[in-house]
Amino acid sequence: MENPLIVNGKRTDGRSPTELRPLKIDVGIIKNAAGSSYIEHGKNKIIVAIYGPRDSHRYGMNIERATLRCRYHMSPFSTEERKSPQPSRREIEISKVIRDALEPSLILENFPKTMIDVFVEVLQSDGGSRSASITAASVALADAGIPMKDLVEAVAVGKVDGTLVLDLNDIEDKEGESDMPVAFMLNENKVTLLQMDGKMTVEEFKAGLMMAMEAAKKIKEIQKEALAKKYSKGDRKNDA
Amino acid sequence: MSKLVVPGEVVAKGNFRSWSNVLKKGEEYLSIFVGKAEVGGGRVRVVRLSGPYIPKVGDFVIGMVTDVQPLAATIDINSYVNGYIMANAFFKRRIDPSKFDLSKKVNLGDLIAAKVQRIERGKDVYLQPDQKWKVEGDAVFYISPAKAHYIYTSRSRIPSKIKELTGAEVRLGANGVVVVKGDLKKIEMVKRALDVIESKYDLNGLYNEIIKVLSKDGESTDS
Repeated sequence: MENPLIVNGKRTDGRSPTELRPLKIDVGIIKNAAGSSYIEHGKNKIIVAIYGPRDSHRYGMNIERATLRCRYHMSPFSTEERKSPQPSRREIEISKVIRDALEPSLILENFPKTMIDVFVEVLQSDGGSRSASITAASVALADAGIPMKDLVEAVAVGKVDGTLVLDLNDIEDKEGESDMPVAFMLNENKVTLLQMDGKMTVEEFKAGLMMAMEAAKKIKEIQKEALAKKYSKGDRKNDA
Repeated sequence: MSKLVVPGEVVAKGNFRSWSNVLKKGEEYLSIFVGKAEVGGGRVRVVRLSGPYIPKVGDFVIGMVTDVQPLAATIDINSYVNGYIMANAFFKRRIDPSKFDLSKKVNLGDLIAAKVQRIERGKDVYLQPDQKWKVEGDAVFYISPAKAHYIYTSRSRIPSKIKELTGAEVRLGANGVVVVKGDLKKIEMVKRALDVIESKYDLNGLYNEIIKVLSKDGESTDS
């Protein structure tokens, strides 16, 4: 192996295999949006803004419930090389994946024939941006007052140098043997997203899922703290 | 003492007679909003702290006329849905469409006070005009619909106290629309009181806080 990614049990960024990257969430950062959040997950920096529910007469609108739309976009300066601002195939796929991961948690029946927009803007990307986006979008939806059964939290697990690792960074994502982002609704005991690149054995898959679930519990606490920070201080003077 | 809860958080366990803004799962009641949990007297509810105005039958709302057709007017009620007032709702009797034109009664931009009479298909909100349905004011303010609804449903003394301390004529809709009639000084005082409501997420102690702010206002203008 030319450049091992794990040396003496430590990864390239000094973490142990089961350690999360530093995670910080701020709520209510965009005044014009119904709800918003900002997440820093490792080197990922992402803003999420929610608009709606709003009346919609578009053809194909669901008359029984609100339609959730999601736009995941990477800023041209979010990567090392300039990224074209046009939506790429990957961005279109991730937009769909985020929407599918969030939808089961929302009670959309309360807003028939309306539209809820989720805008995800990646300012800086470092691997695992879809997971971080889901975590942040769920908080932003709660901030927007959209009724929800549970918060959704997401994290990736993968295999690097034959070892199961949690919360892959960019280099591990690219050079590792597999990558599996998972999103949870922990109270409902549901998985709302599960994708996998590469290969894992059944045992590795099971162990990885458990590892992700434990991490999701920690992420949920951070989500709760972020919401509590905004709403329990009793004073909005520091809001944007 | 109310506790801050987030979606999916257990608000209470057991059996309750009534509940709102929670999801019942077995014996557990889970919040569906970020809000203040209130448990007691056989009931459990979460007071929302954010979100749009969700119309409920019986709510008193203030809205602006955005479209007038011969037999119905469309009202912007500061929500994700529009309100509608049928022409016959003004007279409480059937009217002859060939002889009646609603545009003689209401115009675009008029402010109208009304009660939510019925909601059809979860989206079409029909309103019954209030006895004093035409709202005339010198200033219109918007406050968070979630808070306005709380103030309205909890029969808070806040609106009457604001009227008393400012001397202005104030009409507060459950949809967060506030219409004020009075001179500039009175309007400014009402605005300050509304700023207090807007600046606080903690709804406890709001009443006293408003009295404090408005009393200070009175002192500073007197001196």
